[in-house]
Amino acid sequence: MDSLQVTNSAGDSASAGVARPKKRASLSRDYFAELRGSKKGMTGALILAFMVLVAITAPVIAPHDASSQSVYAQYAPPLFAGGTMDHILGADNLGRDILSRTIYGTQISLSIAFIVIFIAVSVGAVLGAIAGYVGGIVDTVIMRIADFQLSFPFILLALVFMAILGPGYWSLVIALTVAIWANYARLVRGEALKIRELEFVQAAKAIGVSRARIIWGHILPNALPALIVLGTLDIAWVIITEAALSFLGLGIQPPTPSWGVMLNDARGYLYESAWMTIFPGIALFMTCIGVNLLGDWLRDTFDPKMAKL
Amino acid sequence: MGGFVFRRVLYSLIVVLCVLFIVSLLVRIIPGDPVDVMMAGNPGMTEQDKEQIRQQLGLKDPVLVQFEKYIVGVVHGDLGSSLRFRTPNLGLISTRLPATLELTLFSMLIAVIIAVPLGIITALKQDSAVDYGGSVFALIGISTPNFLLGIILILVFAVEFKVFPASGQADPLYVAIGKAVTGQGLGSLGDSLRHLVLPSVALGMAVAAANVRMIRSSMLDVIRTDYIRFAKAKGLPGRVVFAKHAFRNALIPTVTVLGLQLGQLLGGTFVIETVFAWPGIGRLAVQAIFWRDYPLIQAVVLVTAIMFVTINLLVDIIYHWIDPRIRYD
Amino acid sequence: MNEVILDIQNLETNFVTKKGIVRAVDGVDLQVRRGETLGLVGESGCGKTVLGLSIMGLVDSPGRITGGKILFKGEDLVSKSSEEMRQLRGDRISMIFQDPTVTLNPVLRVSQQLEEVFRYHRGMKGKEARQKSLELLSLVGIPQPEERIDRYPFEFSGGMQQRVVIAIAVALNPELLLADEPTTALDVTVQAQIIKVLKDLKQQKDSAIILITHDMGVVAELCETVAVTYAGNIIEQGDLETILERPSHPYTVGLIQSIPKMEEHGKARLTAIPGTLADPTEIPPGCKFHPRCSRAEEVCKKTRPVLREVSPGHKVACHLD
Repeated sequence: MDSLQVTNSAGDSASAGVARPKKRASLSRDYFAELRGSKKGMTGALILAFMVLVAITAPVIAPHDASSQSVYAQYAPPLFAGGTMDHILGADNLGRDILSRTIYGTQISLSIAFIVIFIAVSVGAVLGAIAGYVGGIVDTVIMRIADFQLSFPFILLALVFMAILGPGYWSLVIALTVAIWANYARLVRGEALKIRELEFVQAAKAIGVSRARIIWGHILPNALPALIVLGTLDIAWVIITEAALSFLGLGIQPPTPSWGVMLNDARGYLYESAWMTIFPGIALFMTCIGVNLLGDWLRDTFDPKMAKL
Repeated sequence: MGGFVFRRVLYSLIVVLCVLFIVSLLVRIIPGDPVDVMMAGNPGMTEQDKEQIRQQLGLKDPVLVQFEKYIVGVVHGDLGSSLRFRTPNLGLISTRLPATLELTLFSMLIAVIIAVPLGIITALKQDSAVDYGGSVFALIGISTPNFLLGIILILVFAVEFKVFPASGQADPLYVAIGKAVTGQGLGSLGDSLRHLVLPSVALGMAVAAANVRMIRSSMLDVIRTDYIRFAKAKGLPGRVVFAKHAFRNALIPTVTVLGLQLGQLLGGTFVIETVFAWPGIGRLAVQAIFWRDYPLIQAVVLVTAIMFVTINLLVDIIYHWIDPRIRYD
Repeated sequence: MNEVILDIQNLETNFVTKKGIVRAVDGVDLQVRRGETLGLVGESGCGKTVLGLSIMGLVDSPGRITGGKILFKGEDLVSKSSEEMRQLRGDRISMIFQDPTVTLNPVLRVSQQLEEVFRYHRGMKGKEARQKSLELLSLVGIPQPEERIDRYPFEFSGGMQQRVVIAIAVALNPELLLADEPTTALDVTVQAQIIKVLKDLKQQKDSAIILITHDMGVVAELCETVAVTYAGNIIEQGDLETILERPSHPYTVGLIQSIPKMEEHGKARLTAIPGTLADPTEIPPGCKFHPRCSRAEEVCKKTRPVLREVSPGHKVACHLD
């Protein structure tokens, strides 16, 4: 996997002797240069950067307040369908500006995604490292819980949590975090098991380095590339699931402008006001495309082992 | 093999029990109990009456006792009663289950029908236009949320071109097939299938896309193996090398995740059934959440968990059959 | 002398890579006679395997035969259609690969993998093919073939798997058998067993064998003639005794010196040839070996030597005498 394969199947003959560029991640690598060299990765990164920028600057760039209603603007069509500059992407059934709501929706989507991934990766990684490194009963307990969760559909789990906690932003964060932490725990545990027996860890142990330090200093850095790849790809899952739950009315509650909420609002007006569906739909779709492109690139670059996942 | 099946069945049972326990526990934590929900539309009720009903329903018992009673009930086929419908949950679920199964299996079928040929062609024509098209398809497929795809399909094929119905189910598939077989015409079957197409495509597309990627990559691995080269060196015809030596090996990784994917599809029915007003248990579950009909939620979750676990069990067994290397471990 | 059944003339096989064109086989001339066992030796990476695959018509993209002829009993294999090549493969020419543990299909029973050779080349089915397969397994020394034939490859040891591979390869009495490092991936004791199997086969069938290897010990046991390859060329060819006792090319001399002495049995120290194989995308001008050659002269850096006969049956590509 590490070597450049000069020939696909012709065996040793043609590839030997060719200098083999190292493909493993190392600190000296210029990732930005590599990213610029990849159309796929660059497109993904640009889309995502654009979305983040939109989310941060939402109050500045949004032409209207996200929830201010206007009787005059009800069902206003977008500019290209005969609308006015006032509502470039049209307005919804309550006369709310679609562009502004879509822009604010970016905030909701991305913030939930980043918070969930951050918590899930942190919690999962720490628990996984502890399970793998400490072993014994701690390992058994943590991994049984993780196995149990993985043998169960995510969405059902999230749904049950939402039913119990009641809809809302933070319930959503908790439900989604609970649904995915186990992925990371498994991954890091595997890494911890591999690395526990390696010489340099043994040596660190022998000179009296504490467990916490070994986990922090050796195990987590080694698992980091895989964590980043998986975490990035999971952002798309979180965004989609948040939108789906909000769409069902079990996530973000109206009038907060989540894309899922907007799509749900639009359901009754599919025929007359398709723009109510189209624009939040495009925003959702493009964000996921961006995340997946970037995630695929990261996976190919960081961790060729995972290419099949 | 017998020992393996036994262990897997045991493990599955434990998972189901855990699901049951956790769900019952969580339901108890919620503020407000079933009696409050039941009486929401009945303001004439006094605190005393409520207390009496609580006693009758056993809500005053300790959690473990309630859990035990529930388990005993489940074993005897009693999944409790819906607060809203005032009828046994088992009946409510069993009338809707066929619709959900029909939708899930049909979308899996669509996913496989799309993914197998596309995955193989893109691998065999690596780096060609077909390959590029296939990877764009896969990217779009995994980046489109199923409910969004559902809405778009409705917008295009039901509202704009009016080729497929926008929502609802006609005769259940098994009824329609029965009619077709007993000579009552194919009309019912055609109508059922027409209703199935949009929801199944919306549900199955993400899985199809993921499978295209997986089949492509495992096919690429397989055609570079020494055993394929040896099969060619034996002078076998190309179709034999492909069908007998490459195809089955390339599908192994996909088969191993089929269980997970069926689970993913089953999870997806909660959303898709709501979008297409499909009368299955997914829609029932979403409605139950709105009605705060906790016994019903609990029952749906239990049934879904059992299905999910059973699917995984079956897939594991199939996997052992398809890949003899695992069989003897 | 038997007739020449394989006559390779100026064969070139190239691989187009991002780093440039790799000339894996770069103008090879080679003759093999009926019943002869030829050892094709050289360091790994010098084009031996690609030469074998070129003969089989199994060079995969991005590789391609770009010039020369492979005359098999007078017919040029390079110009044959893929269907004609398929009919030839496994029947009149067959090949054994290096690592038996990955050569057999892991999900098919040994019987299936054996019987299909009879089925697709001879149209045999059922009992007949099975009977033939059982005979073959006995021939290559697999005890109780009836019990083992329906097992999966992973239930066999590496040595047993290689026996199965050999059985498949010789099933239809090929006129030419290519054995690509058939013992390299195996344990030393198992190596000896496989060499014995090949020796016995030589006596029973009259296939010509090209034994591709970097192990001069194996060559000494099995071959009558030897061809030495370096960076995609044959640089010396002759009978076993000549090559072992009177090697002429400096590279062959180094190669012979690097053999651990047999009589010392254990792992005697190898005399390595200094330097590494040339980067196949940057072939040095003149003699390809000159950067590593202790005797290189001015002419070696400029002109590429051609293979010429120095004594009857002994050919060398070197400017020095």
